[in-house]
Amino acid sequence: MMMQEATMPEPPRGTPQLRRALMPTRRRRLILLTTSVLFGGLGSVTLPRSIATAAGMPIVLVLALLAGFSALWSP
Amino acid sequence: MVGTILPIGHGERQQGRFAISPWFHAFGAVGGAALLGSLLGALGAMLPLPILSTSRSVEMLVATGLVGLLYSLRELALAPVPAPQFQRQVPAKWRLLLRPQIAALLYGLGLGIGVATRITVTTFYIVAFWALLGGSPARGALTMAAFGLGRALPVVGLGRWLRTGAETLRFVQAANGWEAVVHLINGVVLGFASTYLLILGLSLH
Repeated sequence: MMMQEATMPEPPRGTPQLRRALMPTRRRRLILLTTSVLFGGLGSVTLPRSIATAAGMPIVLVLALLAGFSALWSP
Repeated sequence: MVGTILPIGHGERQQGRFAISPWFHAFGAVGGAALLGSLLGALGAMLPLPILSTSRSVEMLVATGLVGLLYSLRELALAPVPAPQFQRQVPAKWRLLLRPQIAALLYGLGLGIGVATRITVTTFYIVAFWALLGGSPARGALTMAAFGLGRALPVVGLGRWLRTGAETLRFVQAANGWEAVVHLINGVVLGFASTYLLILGLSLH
């Protein structure tokens, strides 16, 4: 059992522009996280209670699908 | 894994047969993940919840939300949150020793279970945590089966698109360069989803 270190290396020279744009700096990653957190909070408080509650499980299922898809990048 | 399963399918195709191994892999992945989910659900049923509130659902939402927020920091490489995991891989020799379909099924089963091999993104922990706290084997199985499905469907899809070993190798090499983007997407989605669950739980309290 090992602890995997979190790393997001700077894009190397010659990285295509699109991929470079998708590998933002620390400051931009922080802004991205803040934005997503704000939208998550807003979504939770603005939706009618019944819909917000019902959406809990589908949201986790989407996370599960994303986790599974991301496993394509496992060695 | 694409580089291991798809060549099995290529072999079947070269022999003029339908490439069924990726489907065996998918079946194993969904089954293995559902098995893990049901075990987690059964284990969770033994937890003495609720502890702090009157509802298990509220504690599930709040706890999953908090852990998810922590792991979104990790996915975005903003904080070194620990992610305990095994560094093992499924044995490559199965491909040589076993019948193709059996090997593909076992690879799917081993990877679908998820916890015994390297965990690529910490989104997996959130899903597993949700399955655990739910305290229901059926709900746990459904939740984790989605992980297995997400893991297996791209392999099946790519199997139809990448027809040779050379094409598969090129794809694997190209995909490797996008790993940081995968973590970025996971971080952003985790940030959104975790806050949603956390605030929902707090509002239901």
